[in-house]
Amino acid sequence: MRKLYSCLILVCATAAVTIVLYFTSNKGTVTIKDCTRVSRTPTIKPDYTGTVIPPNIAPLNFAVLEPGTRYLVKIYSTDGEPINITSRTGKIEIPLRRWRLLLNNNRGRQLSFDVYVKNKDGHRSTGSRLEGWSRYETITNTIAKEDIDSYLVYRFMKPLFNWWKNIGVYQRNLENYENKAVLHGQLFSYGCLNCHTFLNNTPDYMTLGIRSPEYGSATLFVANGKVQKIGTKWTYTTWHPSGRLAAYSMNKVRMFFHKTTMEIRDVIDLDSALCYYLVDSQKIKTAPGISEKDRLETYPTWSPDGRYLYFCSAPILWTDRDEIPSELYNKVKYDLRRISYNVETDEWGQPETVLSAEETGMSILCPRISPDGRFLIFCMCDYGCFPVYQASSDLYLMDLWHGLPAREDTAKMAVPQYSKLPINSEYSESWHSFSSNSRWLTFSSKRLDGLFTRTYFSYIDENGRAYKPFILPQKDPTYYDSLLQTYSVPELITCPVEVSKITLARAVRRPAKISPDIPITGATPKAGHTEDPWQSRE
Amino acid sequence: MRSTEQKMTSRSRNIHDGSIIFFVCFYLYVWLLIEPCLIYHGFGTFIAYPAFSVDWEFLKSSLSYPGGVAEYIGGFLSQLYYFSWLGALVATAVAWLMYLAAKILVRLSALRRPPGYGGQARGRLQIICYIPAVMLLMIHNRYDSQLTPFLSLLAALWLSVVYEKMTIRSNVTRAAVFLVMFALLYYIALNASFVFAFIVTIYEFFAGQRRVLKILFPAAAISTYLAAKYLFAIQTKAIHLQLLLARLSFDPWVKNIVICIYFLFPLALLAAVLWSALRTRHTDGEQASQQGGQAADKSEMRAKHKSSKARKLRWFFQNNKAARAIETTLPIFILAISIFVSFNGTKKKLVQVDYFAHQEMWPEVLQTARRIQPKSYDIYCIHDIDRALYYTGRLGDEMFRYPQNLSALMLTVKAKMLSDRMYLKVSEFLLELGHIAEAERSAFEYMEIAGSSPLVLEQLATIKLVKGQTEAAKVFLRALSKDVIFGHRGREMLQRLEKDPELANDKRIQYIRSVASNAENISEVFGDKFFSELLDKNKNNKMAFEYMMAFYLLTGQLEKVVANIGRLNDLDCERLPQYYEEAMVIYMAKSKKQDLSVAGWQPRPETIERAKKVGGLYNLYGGQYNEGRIRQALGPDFANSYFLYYVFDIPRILGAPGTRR
Repeated sequence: MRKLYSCLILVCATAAVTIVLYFTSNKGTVTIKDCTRVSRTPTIKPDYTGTVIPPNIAPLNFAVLEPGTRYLVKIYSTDGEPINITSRTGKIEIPLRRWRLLLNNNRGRQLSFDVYVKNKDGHRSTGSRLEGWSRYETITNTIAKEDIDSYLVYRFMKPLFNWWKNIGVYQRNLENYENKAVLHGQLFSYGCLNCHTFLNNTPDYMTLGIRSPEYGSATLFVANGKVQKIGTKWTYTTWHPSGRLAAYSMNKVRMFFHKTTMEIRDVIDLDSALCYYLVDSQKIKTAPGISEKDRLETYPTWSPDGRYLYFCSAPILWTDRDEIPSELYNKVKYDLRRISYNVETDEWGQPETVLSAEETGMSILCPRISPDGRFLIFCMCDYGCFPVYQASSDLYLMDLWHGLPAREDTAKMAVPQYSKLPINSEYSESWHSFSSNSRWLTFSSKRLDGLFTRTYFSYIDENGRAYKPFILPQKDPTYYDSLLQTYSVPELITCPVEVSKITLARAVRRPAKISPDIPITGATPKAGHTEDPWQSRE
Repeated sequence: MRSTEQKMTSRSRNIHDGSIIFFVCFYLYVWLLIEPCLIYHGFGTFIAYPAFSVDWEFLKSSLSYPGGVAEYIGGFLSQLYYFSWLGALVATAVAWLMYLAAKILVRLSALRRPPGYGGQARGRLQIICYIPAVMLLMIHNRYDSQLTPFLSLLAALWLSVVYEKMTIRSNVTRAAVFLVMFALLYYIALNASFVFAFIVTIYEFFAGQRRVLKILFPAAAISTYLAAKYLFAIQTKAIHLQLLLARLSFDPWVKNIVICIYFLFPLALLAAVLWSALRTRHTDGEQASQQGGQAADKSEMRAKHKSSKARKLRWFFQNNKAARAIETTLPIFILAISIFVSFNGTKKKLVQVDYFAHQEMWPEVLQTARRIQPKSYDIYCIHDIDRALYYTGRLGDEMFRYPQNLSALMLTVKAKMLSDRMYLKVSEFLLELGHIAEAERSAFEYMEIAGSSPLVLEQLATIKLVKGQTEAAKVFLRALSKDVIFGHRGREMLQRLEKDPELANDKRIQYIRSVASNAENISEVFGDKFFSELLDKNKNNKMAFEYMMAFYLLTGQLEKVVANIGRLNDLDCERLPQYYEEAMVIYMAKSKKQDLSVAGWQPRPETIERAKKVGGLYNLYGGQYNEGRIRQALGPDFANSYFLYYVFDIPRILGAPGTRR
């Protein structure tokens, strides 16, 4: 009896496997002349058409939005076997191994998608002839020669107003779909974390800002796997390429709300200045050129050679630095400045204006320089300091190898060449950063719906041309359709953050190991103290 | 004469009968009196929202952390509360399964004695098996469900049963099985694994008699706790309270019951087992002396026992009929006591008011509110009453028939006093008024704090549609489409948007767009400016007008009431509401005017006479110090008048929340 049952189970299992294989297997080659040609490309979601993609990117799974009962997609390039995928729902999930092989073997070449859709009134297929099928124009993308950094670190949270509860910083392997938390606020009583910064696109040196009513405001400083808690909150941070110091901004930031605009949130820095932290001496210092009493300095970024600190600076238009100035909030516009620095002698030069708000008529924010030192990409928006809340925020590129004055002792440079990138949308683009090889730009965009920030990638070639961006691929192509969280502040790194979230959480909950004196007095937050109204709830 | 075995079987059957009656009563009570649909309504408003979504991402996310399985199942089962009969069935099934497991555990753990010795005691110990069910019922009585911790307890109980029923003799194998079960339960239900360890330790101590395992099991549990806390840096409250839905502090009953869930039954089991062990030893002692053949001593002992009250009592309990009766009725008695102690009728009515308000069943709101003691009104209830009065056209005539509260009218409280529910109510209210930005802000705050309940998803979708942000609205609607109960609403709206992207045929959206304020400023103060902005946008914004007038009436700003009477003409009103009329009369008296006509509206002579009567009695009885006498003299005709409110209540209203009547 037992043997009979065993045989029965074996037969059923074999039958089940056979059926599954039958329905999931490819059905031979396609005879093009048997299909109806449709003279346009199919509508797919996400939009992976006409882009340049890295050869090491995870499969660009997508959904075909054409009506039909069956779908067939053929993915091919010059070399290698094409990938044929069938689907009944229109969701196309590309096998990872074959995708990787195809891309790797065709660097610098075209990647094509042929999409076939079986019409609702079509007939069954017989053998290799497809009857009742339509074939759309081929979708073409280009496979770049250069890889993108393998990991993306980003902040994941819902659109926040005053309260926060569920914020995490995550790292995503761009070569597949693996996603892991670097740290989550749940591990320290639903605190806030932000401003993750890396040295030279590696996690060897990393900083992470923490806000918690229970554990205070602080900065986690990770150096070669060791975590230290610095008892002061660094906002926007930039590592000197030598790793010997980090410059950061201290911001007295306040949120307020509009009544009638599409984006009702807005942010103002009532006060801000720049400081820098010396790793060896564990001291915080500042310099007159980066902390002027009558100016707001923010968004520092080092040049790759470490000789200049670029930052944004605006005149303070109000005297009361505790009240949100209802009349002047939209008059604040930041200039782009830079100041020279000698890392050996710790000496600063005089600040010089790279690009002024007066010339552009807009507020210049978030400068980031490509690691090869060639391009500087920044945001410009109508006013203010927080581009992600401004639909007018767009990305611009400045070619630093052209337009610089021959003499470096002038207070103001000649107007450098810059241009608006063609990758912008009607909504906010911001929070951009470069890959380690300077060829890939990642940035946040609200282009899909005007509300939720998503992460995009764009190829920047040697001449500074930016190619059509594509969205971070997901295993489920409809993932973004109902995602209520935002992907914010994307940063590319070459290898994963190895320090565990447990270690980081433990560091948050400990008292600060380093409590340096802050050289700036006045309206700057005290160490370990959460002052701003963005608070956690229990 | 029946054998002991027959007596035991009979007693078991009676106990069984008792449990059947118990659970039938349990089901009927939960279904018909508690009405789980009210608890469902409370999800995300009164109590935390048990998240559940029908997509793979949610399932994967739930499986990725300890306790996620219990939360997932608890979230799913909680959705069934939408249908009262089904929710009652779920609660009863959970309660019954816990009872069953507890019964088996008592039988296995408490006594390994020959029948006749342990039988009676075992029968009585069955009482403790009802503890988890009773606690579940008490939680439901408080209009909460907390299914997830009970499911965790259920898993712990049944895994204990599986363990204790194993016939493995080897200590090593049993230890290995325990560790696997412990780890599995930790993954499934987090801290219920400690309950499991506790229960099987009791078993090994008293029934299993395996010395090594007695030490190993508690050591494993403690080690896990220490590892979680110190090695994995999980905070203590995350270990223990992970499975407890947030915001317990709103009802201390619920908080205490839920914390006790994990302790009460194991401790009761331990107590029962100890008691049973002591009793059995005592009985053994008696038996030994009897077996010594000292019949004379036995009769002497019997004689001694017979002479005392305790003897009589003992006889009573040893009498089979009495014992049967007690064992059958005691569970019902316990059920009744627990209901009596934990049921909060006022809370039920408050939940009903909220429920009816959400369903826009305004007459029902008022009917239910009238059944609540005025002193038990909370600000949400008062707010809903005012909305109901507005929607039934009686705000200007009857609002002072109910206790009023300035904070309740507009839901204006300090940020620190805000509850999750407040944010959602504020959002709904302000959307109707036309203050879209504040409605949006409140809804987003709610979503961050309390989770993505279908209520807030629908609210945010509506707000985005009003603002013309259709693509953003679709994200919320697609998320809503994954809800088990309200998914159809999301799908229907998405289909409508395909056909009518501007929603030109949606009356509600069009109305809100017509009243939406377009004044751009960053002031957040409710008051004159708030209302004037709304009425400047649309003078036909009846809600803004009536609430503005209510605000002025509540704060005694008579001149502003009078100044805005003319707006009644914009709203095509046919009569002057009672309170506006009375306010005009008071204003006349204060400004010493003989008559008053504003935009064609003037008070009637009878209203002026009423005012004179109030004034006369006020002066006669000495004013504020004789409120009771004045009210009594005026009689019930004046109970609803603004005159009395103005004279006696305004000083109290402006100073402190709540109004005494």
